[in-house]
Amino acid sequence: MKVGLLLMALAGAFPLAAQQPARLAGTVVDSSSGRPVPGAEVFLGTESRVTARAGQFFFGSVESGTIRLRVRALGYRAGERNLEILPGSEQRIELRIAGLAVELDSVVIRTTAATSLSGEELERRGSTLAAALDGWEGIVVNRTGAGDEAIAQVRGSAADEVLVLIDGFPANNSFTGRADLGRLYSRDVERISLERGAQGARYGSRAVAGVISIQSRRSGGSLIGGRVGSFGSMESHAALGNQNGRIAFSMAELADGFEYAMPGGGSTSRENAGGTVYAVNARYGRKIDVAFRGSLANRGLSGTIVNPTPAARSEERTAFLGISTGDRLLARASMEWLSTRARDSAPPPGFTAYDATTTGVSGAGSIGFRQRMGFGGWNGEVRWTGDVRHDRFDGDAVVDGAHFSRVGVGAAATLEHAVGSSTWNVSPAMRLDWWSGRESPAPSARVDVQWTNARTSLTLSGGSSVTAPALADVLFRESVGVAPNPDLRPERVRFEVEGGIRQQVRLGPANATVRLTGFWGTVDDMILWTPVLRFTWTPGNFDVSRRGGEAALDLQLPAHLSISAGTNLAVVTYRGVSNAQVRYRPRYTHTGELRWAPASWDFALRWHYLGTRFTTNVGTNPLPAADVVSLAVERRLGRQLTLQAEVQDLLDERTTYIAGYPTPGRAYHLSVNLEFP
Amino acid sequence: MSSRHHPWLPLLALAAVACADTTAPLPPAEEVLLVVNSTEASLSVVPVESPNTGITIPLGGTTPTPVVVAARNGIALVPMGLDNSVAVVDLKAGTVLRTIQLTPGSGATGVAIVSDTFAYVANPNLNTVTRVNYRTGDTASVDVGVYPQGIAFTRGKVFVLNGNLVNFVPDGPSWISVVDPVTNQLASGIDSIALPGPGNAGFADVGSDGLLYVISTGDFAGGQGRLSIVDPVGRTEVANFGGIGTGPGALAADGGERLFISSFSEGLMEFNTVTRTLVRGEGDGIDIPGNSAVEVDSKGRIYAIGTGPCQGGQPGTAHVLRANLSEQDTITLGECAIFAAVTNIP
Repeated sequence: MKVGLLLMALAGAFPLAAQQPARLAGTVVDSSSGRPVPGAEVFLGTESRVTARAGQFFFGSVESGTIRLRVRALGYRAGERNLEILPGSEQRIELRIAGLAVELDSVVIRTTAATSLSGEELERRGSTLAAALDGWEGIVVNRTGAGDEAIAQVRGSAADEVLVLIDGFPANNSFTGRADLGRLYSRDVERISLERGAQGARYGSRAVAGVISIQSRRSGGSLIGGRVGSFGSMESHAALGNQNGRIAFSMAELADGFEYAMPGGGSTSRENAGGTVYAVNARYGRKIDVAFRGSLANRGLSGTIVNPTPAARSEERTAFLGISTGDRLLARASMEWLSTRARDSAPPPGFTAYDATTTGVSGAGSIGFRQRMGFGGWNGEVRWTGDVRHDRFDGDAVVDGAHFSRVGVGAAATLEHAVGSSTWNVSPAMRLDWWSGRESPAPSARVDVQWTNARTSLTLSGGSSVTAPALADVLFRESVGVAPNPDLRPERVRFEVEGGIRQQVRLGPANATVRLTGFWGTVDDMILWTPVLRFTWTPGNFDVSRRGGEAALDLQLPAHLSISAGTNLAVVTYRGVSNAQVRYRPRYTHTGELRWAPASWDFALRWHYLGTRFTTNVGTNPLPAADVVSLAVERRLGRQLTLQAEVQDLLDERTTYIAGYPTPGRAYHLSVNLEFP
Repeated sequence: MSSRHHPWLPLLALAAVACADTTAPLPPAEEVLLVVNSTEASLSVVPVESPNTGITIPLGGTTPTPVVVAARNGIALVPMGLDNSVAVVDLKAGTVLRTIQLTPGSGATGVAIVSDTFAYVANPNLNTVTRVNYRTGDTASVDVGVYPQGIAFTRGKVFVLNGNLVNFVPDGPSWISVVDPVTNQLASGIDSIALPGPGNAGFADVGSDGLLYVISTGDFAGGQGRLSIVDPVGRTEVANFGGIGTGPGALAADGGERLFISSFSEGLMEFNTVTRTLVRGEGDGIDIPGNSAVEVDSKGRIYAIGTGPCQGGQPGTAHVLRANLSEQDTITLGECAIFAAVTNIP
């Protein structure tokens, strides 16, 4: 009887509850880093929400039953999820979306181990990508001065082994193979992602140690701002934009004239270490996407502290135009022109005066086709691509008519298979490359396998890569102190394996994400410039082992607090007779960030430990380890005005990245940005 | 036997020990081979009687480019090239005692020790040599010829080898400037000795005949190397020989009539100072890959230094040769072993 009454009561209660709307709250997070994604759009039927700063969204009235949530965000692959909503309930969920490594219009190459940063986060870390990325995810940005090239080193890579893509177009200098992060501004970036390891099978040349993919801001409001800092550094910038395009201008006066200690005692003023850089970045697109970048730089080549070159200057001009279009059938073409004049009319004793101009032009084109595929519960797509590139240079620093051609064909697939609450992703890729002087194709292959459930993600990857020597390594003109190496061989990662786990943990009121990665591989014929007998510098091939790991912790705490920390180990050693760490490669780098972002304020204390680097091939003459700490405070006033104050190198460590090139030490910066949505 | 305790006995014993300390013979001086490992910026110190117990001393610096060494009484001096400095190394302690800064732009290359206090360092980029008090760090420079890159000290005078290089290429024959270390000025009388030949004089050694033997390398092409014999008293070149091929470098006398000449391309060559003939010349050298230097110890062992690949941390090698030039042993050195000296550590 009592049971019957109970059943009757329950039967009556259910229809009643079914009429009560449920409440649904959630957070959108980056699937690889676990960081919240602000500004994402979450769709439920005809309703939509935009996620707040910490990635949260909320629907106050949701019909019970099975619903489908869709989410999309710039720089991420759109995602969707089915949910069972209980009547009258209040549910909390987490939607994970994967960052796009490369965006080729609507075609996405999705890889499983990318980590990413939004443009907003990037801006908080530094005004240029050189400042913002140094220390992030174990990246070391080597530079010799404020005005000089800033080159990313990933897992102890050589200078031309990291491919930097802007909207899918390579940003590496077609002559040197290196990508200068000092000329790219954080405010022009929508999102940036990093994929470590041998990625040549997907991206082709230069992707030997990693790929940094930059998605530039292609739309949005207008902006005007400026920044002043220590040592006379100044920046001003402006941008105009609408929903279809954006054009941004910037002018930077780089730091110069700081005091530094001389070997043997005393101090003197560092001169000729700065310069002026003008840059324009534009992107416009509806069906056809057009990107233009141009820069004009006049900078000092300061020389080392023991042999300063106060009269040495470099003038560089670059112009890039890229066009891409298509959906299933993709086409893209680009043209780049660059000119460099380097001169020193009054070199130090024993050095030779020079005035050398080099100009070059590069043309590239690619065509691709993507098709959906599905079998046995697996769904995904495969993309077929073919690309061609030609570089030609003339001038005083290269042999006459130096030119280089490359052709590549490849296929990359992404497959997904859902099993219960978990998902399998498999992403195989293959590529063949030919280039000038090479008779047989150079193959690259890679496969990523990822298993994901609600809180855990496991990844296993293996791949190979090959890249031709940069034009500057083989076709420069012999000069005093440098000698070409006509026998230079291409760099090749024969095989590299990588495994990782990402785990989300609930620790009381805090959400924690832990990532652990380990990698092991070898590089045959890594190209490194070294002094040889009598200190003639020349590029040479070296067999290198590369192994190590990364560990990272992201902790989202109540009261707008967050903590992140990471440690990176990169054991990069010469194979064979010597097992010494390759010169200028730190074994250890550590990072930490404490952030408090209440309401319109944002306080961030960052720490970057750069381990000991050796300047020789045998582990001697070390550059000391350094703790680089910075403190930044940001205040938003309304929706338009942002003020930021920053102290870089708070502890005045004055770490040296390259021997003989000091950094200025503690520096103060103030910036203001006014946005017009 | 009395068991009585005498209070003065400990004092006596102490006095005996103290006396024993002051009168004990000094430990024997240890003969060592010093080798400059250039791209590694270090100094290998190898006891000639126990080569396996050698040590390597990092030389420090900012952008060091060391290529020579000189030593005396347990102190070694290494000019640091582009660092414009000279490292003073305590061979007994195995450390760099101090680094003495020279004039900016010096390019310090070439060194000779003249006393327990003073040494001369050549500044090829400044056309000067600097008298360095390596005890205090005091320096004083004097003008010499074009691109001084080697120094020898004999008969109370400093002989500076002017390489006469412009943009690292010989601009004509070399010559020697003679400096009086007492006045730190060019010597009175003849202060310049012509060295007819291809230029790029950079290496010298004093033979057992008291004469100075000088190598002019030329431009590393076309077999230009020449050997000059210089009378340091008369301050004139007394003989000049070709036939030593391409790229000859450091040389060493054995205390007798043999003079060994190292060469990157020819290997180890030999000249007889009595008959003044090439025993082994161009095309007939002992095959020592990358032969950058040669030295001879007090027991007549010949050390022919091979640079190694100068890359990737791969070591150089000292080939220990018997008097008949057959190989007796090899010693592993540092990366890019480029110059050697034998000295005694007291």
